[in-house]
Amino acid sequence: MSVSMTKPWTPLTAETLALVPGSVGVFEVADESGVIAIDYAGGNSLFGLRGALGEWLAEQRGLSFRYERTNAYLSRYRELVQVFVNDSGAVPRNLVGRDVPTGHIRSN
Amino acid sequence: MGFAITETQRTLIENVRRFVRNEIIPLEFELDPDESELSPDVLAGLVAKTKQMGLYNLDVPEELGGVGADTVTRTLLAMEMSQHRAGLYSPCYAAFGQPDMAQLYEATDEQKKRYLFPILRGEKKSFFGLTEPSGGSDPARSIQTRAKRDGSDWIINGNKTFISGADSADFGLVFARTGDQESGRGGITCFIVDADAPGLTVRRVIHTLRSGHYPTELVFEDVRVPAEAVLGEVGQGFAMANERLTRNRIPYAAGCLGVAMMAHRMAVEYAGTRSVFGSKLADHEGIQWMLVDSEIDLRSAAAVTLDAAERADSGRPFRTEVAIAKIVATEAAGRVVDRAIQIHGGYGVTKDLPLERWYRELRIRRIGEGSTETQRMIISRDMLKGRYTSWMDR
Repeated sequence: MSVSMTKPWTPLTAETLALVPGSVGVFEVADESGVIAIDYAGGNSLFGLRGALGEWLAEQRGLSFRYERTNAYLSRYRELVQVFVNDSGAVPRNLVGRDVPTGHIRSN
Repeated sequence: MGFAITETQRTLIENVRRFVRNEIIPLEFELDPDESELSPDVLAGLVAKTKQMGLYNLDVPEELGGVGADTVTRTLLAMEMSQHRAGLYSPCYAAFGQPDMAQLYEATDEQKKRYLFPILRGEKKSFFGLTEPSGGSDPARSIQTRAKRDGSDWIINGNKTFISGADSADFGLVFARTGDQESGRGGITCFIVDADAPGLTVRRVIHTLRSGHYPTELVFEDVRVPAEAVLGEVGQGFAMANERLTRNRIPYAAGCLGVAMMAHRMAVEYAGTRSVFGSKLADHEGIQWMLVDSEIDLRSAAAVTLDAAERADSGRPFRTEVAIAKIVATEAAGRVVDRAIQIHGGYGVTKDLPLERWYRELRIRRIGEGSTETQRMIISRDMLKGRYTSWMDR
């Protein structure tokens, strides 16, 4: 089992966004340079993953996304961020200046 | 049994209750409903307040700079500290001190300097590495992680699972077999292992019903530690773990009762305000009986939990009493929260209220820190070994 997210990337458009569930879960957003955001749609989110990804669509065009629908969104989010930071040595753009979950987990 | 809360305890309870209501619950309105951590600066502000209250490091002996609360007082306060959304697994977000690592009180002076005192100052975090894929309920037999001598060093190989906090810890207490597989309790040794030791990998987070405060899986591949990493005596690790597990089950049980008390209070209030079929919920006998059953559950569970705490303080044997408290409190709390959800109807299962989180997390409490079935085995062993003694004569 991989600790990284392995689902294929999907272009972020109004049409693909409409197919995203309104439930809680984790997601990644990428541009041509690679992953720029790792985040979650939690219990306080409006329209769950669809709402959170909709904010990215409103902000920037030409992005791709992938997501996992999971009730364990906080633990999965912390795992994904640790792996990304430990493997790449960088913090995803959306977490710069925020409390970043730190730890020892890296990709297998 | 014959328990009465002292004036001092009453004052402490009121202070902690005020802290939870004024400092913790308002913070939670801004957090994700599953959150179990605060940002470091917010936590530092809370810790400053608990230090001012004279209640920081409640479990730590006075000679080490802690409060040194007796078990009964600690139990009463555990019931108060858990009365908020994250309270079951993160009571007050550790503002009253990090979870106790009492094994380190037995450490050498050098070990204390390097590991215990930074923990007490809140500068380091630790994990407790006992459970393995081969089982957690019977560690004496199931531990397969091995430590072999290599000169004066030890080399550790094996796997640990369901280990909370290992991904963000600075070090851990790791229990490994130093005798042969048939050596049982006497063949287990406790090692202090730095989290960045070469060969130690936190392989993954184990995603469970509990999303904020999660367990992890560890792999040890030729992890080399010096002889000074042994905590206590070689072969005495099980006794050390067992003592900690037994005593910890008392506040563990009390924490369950805390969230159940809050859920029950919410249910009573809601039943008094919500109308259905032309009258308040509380006017319906079906609801009244549910509330009464919860009241009975809470009072009886609190009685056996405080009885166990009192025995622990008195120096009398308390293993059976703790096992009873652990079973009764974890199961009663689950029933009380379940009824509170039923009384709240659809709202009860939403993340708008804390009930659904407590319901999920309480399910784990019947397994964690020794399952209900393991506790029953402990009680039956004590009961059937030698001449039976009734509770009145114990």
